[in-house]
Amino acid sequence: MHATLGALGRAWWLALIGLTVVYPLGGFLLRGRITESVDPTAVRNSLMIATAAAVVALPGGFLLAWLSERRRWGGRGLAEITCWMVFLLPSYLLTLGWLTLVDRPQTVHTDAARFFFGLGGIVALLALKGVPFAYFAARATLRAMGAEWDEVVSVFGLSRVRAAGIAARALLPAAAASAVVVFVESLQEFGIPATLGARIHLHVMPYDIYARLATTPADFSGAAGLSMQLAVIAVAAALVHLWLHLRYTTALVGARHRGATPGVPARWESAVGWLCAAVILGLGFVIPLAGLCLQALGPIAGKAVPWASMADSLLYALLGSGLTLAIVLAILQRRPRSSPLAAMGVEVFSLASMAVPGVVLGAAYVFAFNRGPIVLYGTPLLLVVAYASAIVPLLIRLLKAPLEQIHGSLGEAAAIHVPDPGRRLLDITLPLRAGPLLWGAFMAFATIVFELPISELLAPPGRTPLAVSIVNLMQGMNDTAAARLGLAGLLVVGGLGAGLMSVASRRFAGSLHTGVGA
Amino acid sequence: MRRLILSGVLLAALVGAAFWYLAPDSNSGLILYSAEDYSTAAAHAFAARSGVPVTVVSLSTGALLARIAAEGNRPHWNLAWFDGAESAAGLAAAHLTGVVHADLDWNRLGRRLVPADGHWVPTGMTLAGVFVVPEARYSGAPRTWRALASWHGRIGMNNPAISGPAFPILAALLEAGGGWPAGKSFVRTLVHNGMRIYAKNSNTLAALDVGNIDLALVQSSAGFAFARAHPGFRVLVPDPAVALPSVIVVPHGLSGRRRTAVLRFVRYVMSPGGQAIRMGQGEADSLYWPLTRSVSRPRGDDPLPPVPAAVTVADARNWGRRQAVMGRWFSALWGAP
Repeated sequence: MHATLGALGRAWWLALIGLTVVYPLGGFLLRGRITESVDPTAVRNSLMIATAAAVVALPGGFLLAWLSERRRWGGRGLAEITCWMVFLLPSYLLTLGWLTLVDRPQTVHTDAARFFFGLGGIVALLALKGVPFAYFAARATLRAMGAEWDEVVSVFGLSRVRAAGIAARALLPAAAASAVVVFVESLQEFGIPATLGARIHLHVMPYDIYARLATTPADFSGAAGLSMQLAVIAVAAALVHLWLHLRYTTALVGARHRGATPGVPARWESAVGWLCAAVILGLGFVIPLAGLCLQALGPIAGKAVPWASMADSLLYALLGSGLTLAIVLAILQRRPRSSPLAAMGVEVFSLASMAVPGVVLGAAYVFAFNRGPIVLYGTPLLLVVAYASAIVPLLIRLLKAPLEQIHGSLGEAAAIHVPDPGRRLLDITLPLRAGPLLWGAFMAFATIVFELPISELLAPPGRTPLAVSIVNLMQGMNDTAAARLGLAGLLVVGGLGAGLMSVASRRFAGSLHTGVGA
Repeated sequence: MRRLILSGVLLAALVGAAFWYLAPDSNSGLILYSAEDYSTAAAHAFAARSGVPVTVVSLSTGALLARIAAEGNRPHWNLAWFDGAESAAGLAAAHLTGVVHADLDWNRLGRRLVPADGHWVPTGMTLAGVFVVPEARYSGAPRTWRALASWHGRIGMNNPAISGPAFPILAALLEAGGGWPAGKSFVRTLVHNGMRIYAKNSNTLAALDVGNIDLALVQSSAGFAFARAHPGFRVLVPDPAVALPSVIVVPHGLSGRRRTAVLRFVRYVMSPGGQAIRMGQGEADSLYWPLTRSVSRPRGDDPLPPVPAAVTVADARNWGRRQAVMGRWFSALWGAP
């Protein structure tokens, strides 16, 4: 009996996942028509633009991650800021900013505009949005690699070609981890292809999902069936990544793991890194931000800007990021680390969940929690839980490596020397994980503040989230007010992030390093 | 351990306070799902007058309809206000909405738009599609829907999968081509001639503004609002003008005190005072033609012309029933290489 209770106690995180992901999403997707006919052109287009975005995003994101982790590179701070800024800017504001600049009489008939309003522009914006994901995923994996591969090259005095071959082989899992995240994120993105693809009629899979939901009454079974097909593609990508990871992985997780000592970068490496960071920052943040500022300076029509929605969203984000972290910690700390089955489970679960568009997740939550045993629809709690379940898959992928680097023996030593579990948690366990946890919390916070589709379907009456207000203004052709609200949101979130990192770096001096997976 | 307990209690208190702050007001008022930009002003005025608080959930039309459908037979709303009788007919066919008879002083147009079964209340009329063109192209611009196919100019419209009011435009195009399925070849011709499909009104009209297209096919409220702000453009009302009413629907099974409050709300927003607020304090959505005899458009520099002489009222049930199949057909056509 005790053993059973103990096992149940240890498996509480499984119950948490069951309740927040499997019950709503599983139930919704299973009622979907999995045989829903899918347009082969849409599948081909989706695969093409997602692959192209991953291929374009990977070199930049990976290079910055490699220079930041494996070299004593002066541009590490810029790389970090670049990726955070690009990550912060939601795709609908990125697109609005660029449109404001390109869609002007002086520029619209140029070749650059023709490129922008076509496949090139779509892939470029998707890739820009993908760079931070590639960077974060690669840094986490690169940090986990340790010093062993560098030492092999030194000890055996290998030729440059051979050394490069070994390095490429060693870096393959990290590159695959980055590519697969960008691929899946781009696969389910709809706003960018829909906004820029007007001239070229680019038909992508999420279009069909939205078309099913745009009919009255919405065709939820059809949308669920198509989402399942997106998830299947993501699972296939996850399996490819898993195979590469198992076949070529170089990480030594254990007491013998030693962090790599970064070498001095060659001058050209450094220069390429600086250039790359500057280009990504310019294209992915500075230029669209300038467009938004330009838009915000315009005359404002009619309605006042709904500033109250910012306070509501910040509060939602605070609660949602806390819950997200609790779930991620529970999953990563409790799952058996050495089990390949568990690794595969986490991989498949996280990528398949990422492939499901937010609008489908939102609808699944309405179905699950507006009837049946647990009725929570219409409450802020359900919105917060849905936000968390949308972000958990990504954070699992990004925090897995840095959290696993904290060896279990440290916990055992703490248990021996500090018998008080409360003191142990507050003074040892949490400070040891402060870096990744703060980093993950901020990522969740920023994502939630600008999250749109879940907010539209689940926001309780009277508490409109920021993204819904911005999009309502855009729908009402009040782009100036939308730009002002979006800029204010970016300013507040960016300021909070900078303040948080500044306070935390002083409080956790010695245990917190800047950057991912610290 | 004491520190942990204290921290836990403090955290729980903070979380509790945050949820308490965010929790919806559990008053006895009404919850209005709305895609009309004047609804908040109208709701505040109604609350001040009647003492019945109204919480407005402002959503895009697509999100509003998806939310109503997902809530199903456990609705959390008391009224919904959006553009499109076809969508209202779709909700009625799925038994998601109930009957709401409002005894109002309908004008001739209003009487034509009131459904026989009372499943929605028309609250104003816009046109499903108007042609917005640059001043320089006005004289040679098409005057009828059919003439679009032979016009040598670039046409743009909204994407029906994203923009709620774009579906009635698609229906109007199909109707102009001979109905369903005969009208498919007409729409196919337009797409093959290079018609561009933008995400929403602001994108379509921005494309017109910078010269990417020569004619924007948009809902009349958006078209007239754009022309008001951009004097270099003019709005053409095509023949036939196809009505696109804004409608209020109520959930199936609404009864008692809330039903009474809903009817009071409907009567208020259709009263001269309520309509003055709707016409004066909204943005593009304010540009509608009233459907009651006691209300007329404001005098002076009103951007709306008089009601078109011949207005076609499409069979909402007929087109509403076909939404899914038409949407799929159009998405396949749109994506065809």
